[in-house]
Amino acid sequence: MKNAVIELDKVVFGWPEGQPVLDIPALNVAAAERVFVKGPSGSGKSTLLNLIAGIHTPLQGRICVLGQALHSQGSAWRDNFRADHIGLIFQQFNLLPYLSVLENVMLPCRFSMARNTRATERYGSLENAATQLLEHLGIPRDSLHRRGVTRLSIGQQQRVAAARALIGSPELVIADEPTSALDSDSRNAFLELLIRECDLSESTLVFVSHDSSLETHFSQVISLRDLNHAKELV
Amino acid sequence: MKVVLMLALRSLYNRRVTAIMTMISIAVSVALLLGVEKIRTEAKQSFSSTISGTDLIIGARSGSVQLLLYSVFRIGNATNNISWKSYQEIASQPSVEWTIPISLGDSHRGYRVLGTTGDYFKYYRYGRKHPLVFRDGHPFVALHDVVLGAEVAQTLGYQLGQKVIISHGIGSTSFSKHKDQPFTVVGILKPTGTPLDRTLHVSLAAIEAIHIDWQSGTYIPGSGGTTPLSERKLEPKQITAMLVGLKSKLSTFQLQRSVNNYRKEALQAILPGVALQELWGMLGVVESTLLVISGFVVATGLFGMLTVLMTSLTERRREMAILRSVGVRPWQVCLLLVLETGGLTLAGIVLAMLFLYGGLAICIPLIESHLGLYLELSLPGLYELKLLLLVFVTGLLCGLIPGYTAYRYSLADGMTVRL
Repeated sequence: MKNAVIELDKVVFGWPEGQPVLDIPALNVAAAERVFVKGPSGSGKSTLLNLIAGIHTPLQGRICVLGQALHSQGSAWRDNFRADHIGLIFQQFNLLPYLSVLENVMLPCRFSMARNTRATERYGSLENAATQLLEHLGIPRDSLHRRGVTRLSIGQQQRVAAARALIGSPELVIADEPTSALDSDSRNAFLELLIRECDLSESTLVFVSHDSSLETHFSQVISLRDLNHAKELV
Repeated sequence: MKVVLMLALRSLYNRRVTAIMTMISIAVSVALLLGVEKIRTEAKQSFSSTISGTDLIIGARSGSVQLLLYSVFRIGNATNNISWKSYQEIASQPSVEWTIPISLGDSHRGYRVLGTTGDYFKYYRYGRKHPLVFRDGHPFVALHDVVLGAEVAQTLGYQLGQKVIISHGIGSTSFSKHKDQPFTVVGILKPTGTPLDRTLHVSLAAIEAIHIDWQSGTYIPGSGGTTPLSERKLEPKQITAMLVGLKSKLSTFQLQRSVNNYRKEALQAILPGVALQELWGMLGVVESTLLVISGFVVATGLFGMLTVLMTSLTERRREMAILRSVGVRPWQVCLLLVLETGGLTLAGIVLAMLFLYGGLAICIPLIESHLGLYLELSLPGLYELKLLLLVFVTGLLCGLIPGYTAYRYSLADGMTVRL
């Protein structure tokens, strides 16, 4: 087996005094995989992402990301780890309204030396890195880069968010239903761009959606309903 | 830290309307605090500099504050007078260097008329031992000469040589006037910032002269006899109070005791400094009330800021989550809000200074001409700086409340953006 990026082993998660929400005997994602995690709402998708990103720690079991045992580390360490190695994209409203497009994209590098260094090494400067990523993702230079983000369409906003998740080439990119606000044409276009850029920066992509029509783009499909042994939430 | 500061400023700028409103409300409250403080210290300064260089004030026995009020501040009336004999006896004591007799009771259009001697202009001191200076003219020489205080001359528009009629008793609409004996303005004093500016000065002899035909408070022409004024010996029978300067401060208490124990008449000698302190102490309640009220106003301003920030937090949960997702640590989220309140408070304080000094620059001439209170446009003193520092630190600490809430939010919400 190739280098495992994500390893979950007998992971149980739940809120104190409540039923376990998540019970996953095993989950493995190899480096440079394109993983599609599908499941209806309420199936624990967000919880799974929060566990992988190290926001929450499991009640039982082991979670290793990039070979690091997250469950045995403190929250400050996990914060640093996440900032350095994980890029995140949400459903919508990903961007800070008071920063320009470029500043939004460069933001992760301001809080992670590792990503800053990688971006600068690869593109010469942080601004170059952001500009190039944006161009790759179809946000033309000059016309938009220095403007506020509020004038962008939702599709453009999501591509800016993708550029932000990808800057500094984090090993893992997690996307939480980033296409749910897009129409089907731009949905496929967005997905293609995202996957191409993940390939370029050799990042593993974990993509969560309830829309199984998208799963053809992915090399590995995980159905959370099959994976999760915890009882369905009512 | 630098990035967080940048984010805080940009975020504030994005919400600039509420931010500016908040800042102004803090600025107004802080300006009020500083203004009250300014007026308090300046009023105290101006108040205690009304009289200086005088060792004792002697009057009929009453209260020390009352004596101070009518002899120095021209407020209220004497309950009793001092006989001219007692005055002469005290004035001839070997330890006495100079005396100024004061005779009050008449007025001119609401301004008090003070009968005294030429020694008044020689020995009276105010502020840091400032002597009285004439703007125009000279002390009274002839019987019907009058010397005006600066405000009297300015408000009534009197010039040298002008005729002035004095009313009997006090009050601006007195019906009984000494019309038969008009006075001539021979001197106008420079402003002093004391009640002296609102006084007309005449000689004791003049006071006697205008009261010749008056019997028990009523004007009966001819009742004082027909001898021409120039041939009369116009010596007062009694005066209202006297100011005393001593050769040596060491004899102050000795003279005070001997005056207080004076057998022939019930007299009282007070130390002006002590009486001023006593009087200020009575006003101290007002003073501290003002300070407490302006303190509350500042607290209200800060509470307003807190309310605005706490309200905005719910809307900004998404912003916090986005920040967290790009690698901002929870403590940095807290710092962000502390920086915001700190920034708002600081900007409010700076604006308050502009308000205050701008306002003072406009108001000082007005206050001077209307209240006779001389404010100085001075830099904030140590006490003011301490107050400002206190406000700033309180503002920063206020930031910990939304800061902590945001910290909790960002731990609980994690990456999941909730609306």
